[in-house]
Amino acid sequence: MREAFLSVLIVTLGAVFGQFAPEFATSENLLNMTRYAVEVGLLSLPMTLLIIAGGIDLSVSAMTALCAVAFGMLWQRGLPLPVAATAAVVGGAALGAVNGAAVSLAHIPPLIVTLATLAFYRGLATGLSGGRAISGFPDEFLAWGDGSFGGVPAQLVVYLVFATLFALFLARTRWGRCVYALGANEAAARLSGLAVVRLKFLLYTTAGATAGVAGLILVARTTRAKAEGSAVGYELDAIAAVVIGGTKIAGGEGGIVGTVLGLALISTLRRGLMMLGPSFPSEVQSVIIGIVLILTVWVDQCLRPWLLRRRGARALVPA
Amino acid sequence: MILLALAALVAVVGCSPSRNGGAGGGAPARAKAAPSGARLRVVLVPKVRGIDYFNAVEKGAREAANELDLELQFDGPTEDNPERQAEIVETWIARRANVIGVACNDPSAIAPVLKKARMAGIHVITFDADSTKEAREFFVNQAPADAIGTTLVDVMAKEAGEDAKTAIITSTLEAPNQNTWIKHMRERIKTKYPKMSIVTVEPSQENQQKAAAATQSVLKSHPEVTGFFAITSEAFPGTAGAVKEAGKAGKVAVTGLSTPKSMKEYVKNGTVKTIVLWNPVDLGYLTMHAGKALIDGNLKPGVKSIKAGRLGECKIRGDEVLLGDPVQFTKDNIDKFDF
Repeated sequence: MREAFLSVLIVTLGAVFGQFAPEFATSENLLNMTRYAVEVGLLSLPMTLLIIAGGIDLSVSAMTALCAVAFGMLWQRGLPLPVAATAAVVGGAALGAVNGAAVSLAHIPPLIVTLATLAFYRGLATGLSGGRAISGFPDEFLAWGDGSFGGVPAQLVVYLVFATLFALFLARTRWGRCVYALGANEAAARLSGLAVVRLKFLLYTTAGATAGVAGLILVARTTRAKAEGSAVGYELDAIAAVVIGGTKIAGGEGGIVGTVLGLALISTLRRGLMMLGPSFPSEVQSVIIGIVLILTVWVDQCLRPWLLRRRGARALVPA
Repeated sequence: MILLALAALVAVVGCSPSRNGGAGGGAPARAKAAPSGARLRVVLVPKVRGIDYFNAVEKGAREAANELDLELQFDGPTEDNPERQAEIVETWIARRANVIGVACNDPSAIAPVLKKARMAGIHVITFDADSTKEAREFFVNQAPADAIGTTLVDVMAKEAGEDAKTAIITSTLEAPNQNTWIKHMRERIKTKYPKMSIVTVEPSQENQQKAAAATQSVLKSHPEVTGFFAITSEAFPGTAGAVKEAGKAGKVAVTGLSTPKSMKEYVKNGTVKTIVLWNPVDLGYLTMHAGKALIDGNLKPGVKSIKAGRLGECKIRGDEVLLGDPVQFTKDNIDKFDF
């Protein structure tokens, strides 16, 4: 239902933008648009899991920037690309594990933990790079930023693979069901013998590893590894995609399909407004995206009681 | 999950994407642009929108757009962000601009998207801040280093005499722009004013307070100094403030590079007589004329100059269009400039 509503909204918006800016509705533009959405898209996947599980991770953008810088520096110091890339992803997992340990073992609220590591990782990235940009990456790596598989942008393929994996994990595995249980009622989940600590740790670590991948894609797209101005504000865009996608911010409900649609809605809005010319600068775009965020959540709330009645007492756990 | 993610990564890395995606590769295709009959569309992308400096650029660009009957779109990021700038250029490639002119936030970060624009048959120029050479056709250079150096020294000779003993307050001792200017200043002194001397060059790290402190220490350790060159926009107000505080306003000359707005106070109280900078209105105006000349084929490699409306004939040096000599802002004209 939520997914259908979002799909209709996206198509309608696309049609409206296509009317006013004919160049918007070309396949070239739409495919190109996805190149700019993939990094936020990747971050929004583990974010969906975390929010369903009653957590949140504000440090994903800082981890993305730090992994990007670390990858660039390792490569510059002579490591082969695949090794440097693997190191960046593993390093990202380690950064995420720090968040996970603080949340699951030390029981510090995730908002506080990741707000702190947001500043910490961002500072580390800036310090490491000394404000310099690393560039000169070889073509076979940069192809992940501007290349394609039979016309489909390379990074979009990466995103779709990840989205499928996350969706399968959430809907089809025992651990996936535990994520919902954890978010619905943590105490009950713990008392039922679910491995709450391990699950939380795993989720934050996954967020870090995914941020590592997003960092690599970011470097490939922008052709350079730099701390300043890299991935700034991506965590908020990712959270917005998750929430617009129908995942309850308090946890317990939600799904990957919604998040993918939420991302599509935000990207369509942003690119569409940009195509309408300089009359919609980025601050106006932010305002409009904010309004859409509130409206979709509100519409969802209004529809929910009606939906519940129709489905009877069945729990609302979308696949 | 992590293992799964890693496995996925490896699986995807296994096959590799092909580059040169949609543009068709090979030779750049001209002619996609310009639906005939419609006005030609020139897009200027500033570093940041809505600041005084680029508002002045836009004013000049609008003036030229009216003269040349061009459609001007002035579209840039609201914060100094190379990623946003690249995305804006991207949308204008899709919307088939005839010319895209960019003041680059980051020379290397913007290069790929500029190359893409050229592949799509769009003319690409840079102004104010350049990208890499192969990413654009021409750079509209608002301040050739030799002209800046020469003008600064000439101003000093007028204000503190041809035998002035001077000190330079620079940004850092490694800063490439400043060092090139200093090199040209020394050359001008050597050829035109052999009695003038540069006593010391002090860094100020682009910081007003540090520039003021450096100025105070020069005034103490080198009391013979009769003139200061403050050659960054931050150093200039700092140095002027320190000279004023030391009670040397009018006795020790201060000149340098900064915006008229930030120096207005010191010009009004007599500490500073002349500010050297280019005119951003003229920069926008010239950039539009350069864009038009590119479309018409009047601006191409080997050309020595182009006609640019009220600016007259503007010189071309290599792949740079030169705005010409810097402008001197004094108490007589400073109120006319709002940047």
